[in-house]
Amino acid sequence: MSRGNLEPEKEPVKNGTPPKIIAFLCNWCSYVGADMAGTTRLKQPEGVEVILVPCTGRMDPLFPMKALVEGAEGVLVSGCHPGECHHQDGNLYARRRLEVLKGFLPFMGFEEERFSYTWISASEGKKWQQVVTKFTERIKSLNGKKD
Amino acid sequence: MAGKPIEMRNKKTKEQLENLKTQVEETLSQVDFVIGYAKGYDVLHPTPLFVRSTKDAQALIWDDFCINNLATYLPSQKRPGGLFHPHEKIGLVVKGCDSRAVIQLLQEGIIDRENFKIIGISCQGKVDVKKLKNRVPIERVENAEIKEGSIELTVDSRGQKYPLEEVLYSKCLSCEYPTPLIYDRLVGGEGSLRSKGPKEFAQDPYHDVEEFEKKGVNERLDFWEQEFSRCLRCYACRDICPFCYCQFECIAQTRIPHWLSQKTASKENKFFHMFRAMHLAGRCTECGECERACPVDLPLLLLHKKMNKKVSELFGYKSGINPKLRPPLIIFQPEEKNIEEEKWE
Repeated sequence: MSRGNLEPEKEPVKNGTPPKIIAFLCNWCSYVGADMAGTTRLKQPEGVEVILVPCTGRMDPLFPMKALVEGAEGVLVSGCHPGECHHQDGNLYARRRLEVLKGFLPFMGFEEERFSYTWISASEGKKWQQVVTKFTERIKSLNGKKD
Repeated sequence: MAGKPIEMRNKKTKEQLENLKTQVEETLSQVDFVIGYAKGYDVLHPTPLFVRSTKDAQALIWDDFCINNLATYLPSQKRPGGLFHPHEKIGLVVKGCDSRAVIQLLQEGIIDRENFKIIGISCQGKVDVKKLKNRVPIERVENAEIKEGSIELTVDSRGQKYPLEEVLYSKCLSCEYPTPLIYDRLVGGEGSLRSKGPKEFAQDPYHDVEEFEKKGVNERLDFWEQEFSRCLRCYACRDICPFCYCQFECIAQTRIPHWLSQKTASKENKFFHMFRAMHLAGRCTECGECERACPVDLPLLLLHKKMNKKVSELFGYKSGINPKLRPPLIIFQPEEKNIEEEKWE
């Protein structure tokens, strides 16, 4: 979260570099939610790269796949709650596709914890903070296991 | 091992061939040409044959090696600059497994039903030449015949014998549709390995996927790493696939968008096969042509079977059965009863 001038205070990095996490956020809800978490100065983990997508319906399952193959340590996708899509049903398509991808990645040797998707609305800045913190912790502990 | 069904099998294959020739000749009056099988450069490798006249039809064969999925030719029909003159009417010889590919193509709207005729032929399982390769020098095989539950090969004028269940295609051992699901004419009645053949041949179609899933995540990673380091990226798997009909728009080769570099490193190869599996999720009919075409014997079907298994678990859908259904990944349900989302609490 590096957009905007009101960056929350940075936590000093303790155990080496923060994990590389890519978050695909929907323009209409999760991105705004994450922005809200920033403006209300909620503490968020470092190392999360946010990529804005116009809708989770735009999520080609190949995006997370490519990110992981290219070396991302975790990929998180977030969009509007089912039934609340700005484009009516983009997230419902996405749910099917991402679920198939989620089942496939462990088969290829990526831990299943490395990819997840969730629904966060524009007003849920707090939820974004919780999700992203939890997700980062998860990836950190996975990386810890590897070493 | 039950001997009788196998003896019947031989006799039946010959009867089927005579019947097939007649059916092809009759079909020729309705179509421009019929695609069938002919003898290839040796007994183990039949090759597709384009029959344009009754004289050509005499070269048709039907034996235990006719494995090619001829439905691969169909998407070419509507494509500008394809193999055929636009809207030439095609007749096609299809086995049970190939008929699923035809249905899937119909479902995707790639082909029009009125533009081709199908001569369905019941199949009793085909012999996997790659499995023979580990046992005999296949380039010196002079004759191959199936007798009493085993295959008898003549190599350098000497006979060799192997049990049939060791050399049949894995897909044939778990075959559910020996008789085509769609056809205009049908050659031969029932021909199922399961119903007529020895029962011990029958396998669960996804047993290899389940076995692989039991391995640890690092073991799986290493396995694919090793396998894909051998991939040449010749795209034979893609080119032979009935459903990889994007041709020059295949994202493996497009520059805009540039998904994939041409480097044949393990990482790029892995991504290529992963996205191919993703694109075929719920579409692949598991004909196994990708594996057969692969020059370095990658276990590609394992990927596609995994995808299909996942799709059938989530959406209860099986590809290539009903042309009226819609592919599961282009539709949705407001409430997905089999998807359990993460709670994050």
